[in-house]
Amino acid sequence: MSLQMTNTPKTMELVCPAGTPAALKAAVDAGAHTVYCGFRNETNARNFPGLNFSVRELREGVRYAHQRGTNVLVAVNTFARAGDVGIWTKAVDDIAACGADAIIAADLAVLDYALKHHPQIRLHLSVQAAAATPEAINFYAETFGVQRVVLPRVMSVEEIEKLNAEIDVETEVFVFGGLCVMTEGRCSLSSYATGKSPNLTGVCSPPGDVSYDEEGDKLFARLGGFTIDGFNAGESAGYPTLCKGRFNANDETSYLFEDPVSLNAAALLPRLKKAGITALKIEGRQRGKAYISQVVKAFRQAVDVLDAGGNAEAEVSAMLSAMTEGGRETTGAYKKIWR
Amino acid sequence: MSAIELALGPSFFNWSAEYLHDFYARVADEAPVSRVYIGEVICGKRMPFNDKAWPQVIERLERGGKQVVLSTIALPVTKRDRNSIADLCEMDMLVEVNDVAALAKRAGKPFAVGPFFNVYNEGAAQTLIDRGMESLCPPVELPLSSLATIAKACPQITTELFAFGRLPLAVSGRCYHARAHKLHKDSCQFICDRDLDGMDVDTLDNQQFLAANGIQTLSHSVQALTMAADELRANGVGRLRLSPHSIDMVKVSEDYAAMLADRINSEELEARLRSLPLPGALANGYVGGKPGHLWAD
Amino acid sequence: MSELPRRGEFPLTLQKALGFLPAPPLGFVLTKAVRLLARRRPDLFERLDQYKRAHFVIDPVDLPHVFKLVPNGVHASVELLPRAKAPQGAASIRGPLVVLLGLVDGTYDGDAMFFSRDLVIEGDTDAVLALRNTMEEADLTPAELMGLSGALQTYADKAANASLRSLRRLLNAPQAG
Repeated sequence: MSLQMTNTPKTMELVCPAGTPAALKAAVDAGAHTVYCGFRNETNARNFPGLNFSVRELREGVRYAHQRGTNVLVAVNTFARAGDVGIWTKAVDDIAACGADAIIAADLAVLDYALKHHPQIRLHLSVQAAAATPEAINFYAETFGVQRVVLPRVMSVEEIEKLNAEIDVETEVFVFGGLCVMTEGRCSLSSYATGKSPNLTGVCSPPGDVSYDEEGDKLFARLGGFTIDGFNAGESAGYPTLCKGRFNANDETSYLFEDPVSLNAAALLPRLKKAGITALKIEGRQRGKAYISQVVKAFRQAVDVLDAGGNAEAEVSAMLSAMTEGGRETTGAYKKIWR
Repeated sequence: MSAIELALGPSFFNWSAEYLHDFYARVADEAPVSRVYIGEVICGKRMPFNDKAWPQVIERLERGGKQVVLSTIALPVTKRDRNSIADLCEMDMLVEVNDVAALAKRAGKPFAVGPFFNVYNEGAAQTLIDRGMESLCPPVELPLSSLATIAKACPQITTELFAFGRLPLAVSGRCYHARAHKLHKDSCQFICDRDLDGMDVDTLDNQQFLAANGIQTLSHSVQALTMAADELRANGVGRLRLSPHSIDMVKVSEDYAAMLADRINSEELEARLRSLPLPGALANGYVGGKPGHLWAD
Repeated sequence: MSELPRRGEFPLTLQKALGFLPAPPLGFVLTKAVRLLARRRPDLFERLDQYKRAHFVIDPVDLPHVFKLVPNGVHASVELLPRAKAPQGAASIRGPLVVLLGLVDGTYDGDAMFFSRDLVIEGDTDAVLALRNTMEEADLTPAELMGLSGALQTYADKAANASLRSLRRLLNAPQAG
């Protein structure tokens, strides 16, 4: 059984985050073709306090979305803990029982279980699997019947276009929101500082390990005791995401890994469409419903204009000006100069 | 009661062909390790320079009685990266798989799985065993208790623990050596060859934190597992991996061999390691499921 | 002229006047409201999970009192305490009253307020995050929080929203994001 697409194959499918049932409704109402969410436990990579879905909430969310022609994908995209694989396989069973449209997974054990026990459910390969070569992607397709791969945020549009020519599965790329600088699923920086990481516990730079310390007229943002950034009085403070910090290296202080920016590839939508991308993903299951609603509406409008043969230029710039307020953005690795 | 083996992992750093020759010649002649992983695992751009070293290194190590394992690149991107994987996987030697791309090429023939490959549980391990995995060195953040669970469920493979060296924490599409020197990755001038053990990355208040090595991020601290052989065995550890640094790795492997043979105890091993000019402080937090930078006695 | 209050805070004379509000009855009313909410929306308290039993100190800097909230479902409690008696070591959220109210009804984004430093978070950050995400899901209107329903709710919300809007303008509070 495949995803029941309500749109023509040429439309790029907008895949939108839902951290709570309220956010799911907001995304559906704002025009998301598809929403993605996860259970309220360590089986998904946004395992933050107060976020995510119970089984009952997922069942209701799927009903709400399906009534309005929207698909629901559920992420079981952390790596199962040795000896406790049952928590992850139960999540897979629950997704199947709720009637969701696909499972997003990365762990070989989870993929294997889903294939063997729920062959009717569509499998998407999570970005946490960081599959970027035709060999890797075709392996997942042939071994587990994976039908779509979410590409790592470290590839350029040129590379994605070449890749699409060599694989048969659909590709999904991130276009907006938080930007991982490191290859997803291959990063233990967070656990090195705090003991908790995306792969181990479904969190990165967890809030419980953050401290803001005022020293003199400076404010230091620390993670697990390591200073990630410092701010002068009056300067707006940032969250100490480890890879977006300021460090000393080679006798200089700089944002060595990445500036505190977020991804906005809106201006590249026409290029991504030409590169053969099936779906566009918006990051942000931890964001509020007002934000979700605003971003989804803007992207849906841009995608629709593209479909109608327009270049979406006007919609894109309107969107950019509305959302860059307060934060800085980058097109990330999609433009090769990023490296 | 089987003896715990010692292995030398692949070098992460941009060492010249001459440096590699000298380094592995000593290992071949003097280091009490039974297995040596070799090859470029970090950056395909370095391959044209170190490729020429490997045939002689392999020959030398095998003459010294070592089992040589060919390690594949951790994050294949370019055609060259992918070709290197295909070439290695076709060879009639044991191959260490560090990415699913290599698994695809090697499935059906025996292979080892390295710490860049995500194996966190017995289910994933079994899936790989079905395809030919003979030994597993899981990701460095995996606690020893999880490794023990995998070892117990999969007795047919050797489980290997990352015991010594700066911890490989992340890989990226971006080159931090190039970025720190204000160069673009495509014209990087191979600047990472300046730092034999990686480039130190400190916090704003000068706390030692991380180390950059091209597209790779390592810990500043040096993992140093000093647990006694009995305890390692009880947790299913069959082999310890020592990760190469520019310090005297023959001495490091001799000290570990002495500990595994019960000639010295944990405290003595720790003292001997501390006496070396290590690139960072000792750490072992990951083993106990704690933050990786911590040192617990 | 007395010194000017910071952005979003009540003028000092009004701050003093608010100090005469009787603390115990207000605590009683709020406790009742939260317990009522727990009966109507048990899912919200399930979402708080272990943080149901956390002690939150909600500290409107322009009032003489702080609120101590333990959102433990039908056993929830809200107490008004003089600032000097605020418990230590709890999860605390500090900011002007109008900003705190704006967080409840979704006018303000908690992240944005925090990074602009209109809001100060101290103590158990995980607990505060759980509360914030739960409020996000709850979608509470001022009247709903007070347990009103039907036409009365609509009327009260309209009145409350209008007065909060004018209050924000009046107090030079941050622009709603």
